[in-house]
Amino acid sequence: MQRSHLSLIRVGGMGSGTARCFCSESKPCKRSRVQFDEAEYSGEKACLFDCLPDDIVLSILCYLSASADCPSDLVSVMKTCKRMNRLGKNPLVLEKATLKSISIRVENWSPPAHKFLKRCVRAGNVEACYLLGMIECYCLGLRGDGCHTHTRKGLSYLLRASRRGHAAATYSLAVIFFNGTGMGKSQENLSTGFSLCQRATQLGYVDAMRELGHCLQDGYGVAKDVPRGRRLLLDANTRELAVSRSSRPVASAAALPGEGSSRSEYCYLHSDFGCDVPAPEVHPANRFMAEWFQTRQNLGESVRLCANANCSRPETRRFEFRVCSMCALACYCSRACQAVHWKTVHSAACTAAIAARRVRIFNNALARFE
Amino acid sequence: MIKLVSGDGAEFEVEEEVAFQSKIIKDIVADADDVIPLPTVSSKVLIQVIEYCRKHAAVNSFPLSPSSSAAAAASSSSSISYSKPVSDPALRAWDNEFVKLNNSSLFDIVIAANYLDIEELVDLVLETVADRIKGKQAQEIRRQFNIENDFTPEEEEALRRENSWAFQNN
Repeated sequence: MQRSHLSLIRVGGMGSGTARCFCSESKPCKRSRVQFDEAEYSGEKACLFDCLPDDIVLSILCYLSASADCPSDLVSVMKTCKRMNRLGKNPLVLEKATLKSISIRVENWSPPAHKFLKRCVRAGNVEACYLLGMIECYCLGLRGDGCHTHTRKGLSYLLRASRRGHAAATYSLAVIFFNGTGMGKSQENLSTGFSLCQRATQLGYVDAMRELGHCLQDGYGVAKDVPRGRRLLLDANTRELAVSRSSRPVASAAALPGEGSSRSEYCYLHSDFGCDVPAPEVHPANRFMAEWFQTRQNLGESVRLCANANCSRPETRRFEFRVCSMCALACYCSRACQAVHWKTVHSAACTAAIAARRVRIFNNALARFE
Repeated sequence: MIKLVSGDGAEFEVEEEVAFQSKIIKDIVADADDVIPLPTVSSKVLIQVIEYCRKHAAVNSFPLSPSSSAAAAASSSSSISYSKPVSDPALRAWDNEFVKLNNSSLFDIVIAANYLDIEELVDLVLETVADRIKGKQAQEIRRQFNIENDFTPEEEEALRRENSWAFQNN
């Protein structure tokens, strides 16, 4: 294979990052031909990227990572050659990687995947901080051997994401402080949890708004203020509708005129008031936890998970979570998860559970009578 | 009028506002004469670059209508985009047509645009190249851009094992 008859020369004094191709032979450069047959071209000449300086190739990779739809988009290009492999690991590229391009499924979880996420965290990728923080805190931290290194690491990642304005990470920290996750019952810190929740609310995170609303209604970690709590719940629902509308712009914008001008005009009452919004897409971190404990449960370990399928946080110690007072079967990491789960699924399932129990008791009594 | 001379000696006369899409030309004209030699840019590439500059100079000379700028502000706030979006949909469509070229022409244009410091054109082309890389296997990308596989078989195997997490069941 004929290679590198093109060399790269930086041209000084003509602006930064400029480069040009030079041909060693006297014949005109083939690359300057605009019309050519791509099939004829392939396999014969030098790599197209050879005449681009590193900073331009980096920009291409940044565009790629910022728009990637799955992890293989970025990894494929890194597998093509040494230079791409080197540039693909650049923090500039990893920092911009989308959530989709770093979402790892449980069945693919491996030390290299862990290493990749850590590298993204080091590059300052906020989504990676949140994802790895959740995995370390809830999945890897839950070993029950009294060693808290993973939990501590996870907390520091979540803190890093939260400091950079990641709403979900801030809310997760609030849940951790409310429940004393990874620590003892005595470590519950309601006031810190409440202020974190408030911060996540300011960032516009629906779950946090709902949690805060219930905290205020019940006087949990804060002085009771029912009207303010109600208002927050209403805000949460409005926000939820707005989010579900904006995430499906094609379908809803066509159906409803005046998109973007006044969203409040189309304010239906939803999840807290009877579920008019489609279920939100499960975050990769929550999906990871659900699948992680699904495989563990199949192996015979029993861990109680938050019954809300969009959450799936596990208990890190016995009786950490509150349970449904009706059936005492479903448990929840937070009031918010309980409220949503009750409206969406559990109100039907719970009464069914009670009915089933009544039948069982009746049958037992009948058997004893006979 | 400004005269641009390409590497193969062809001369192009363009209006100032068209040529000034390039920051380099703007700087050169400020302290030199109106004939600008561009020895590294071939005439074929220069024609395309001028075509782009002419279109963008014409559109940019009109102020944006308030509705389209509001829409641009709304879209930029809701979705995080790495690139600055071109606000005008008609111009966006024109850009999309403009980049329907084969890879080597695109790379020639990006080299010229980088040399001439036309930021928007560089961004446009790089984004297009990134789109062409997306969703493809390593082998396909190599073929498309003539990338030579410089890994030894052992290195490739190690790389495959290291990155297998990104490929299963996706």
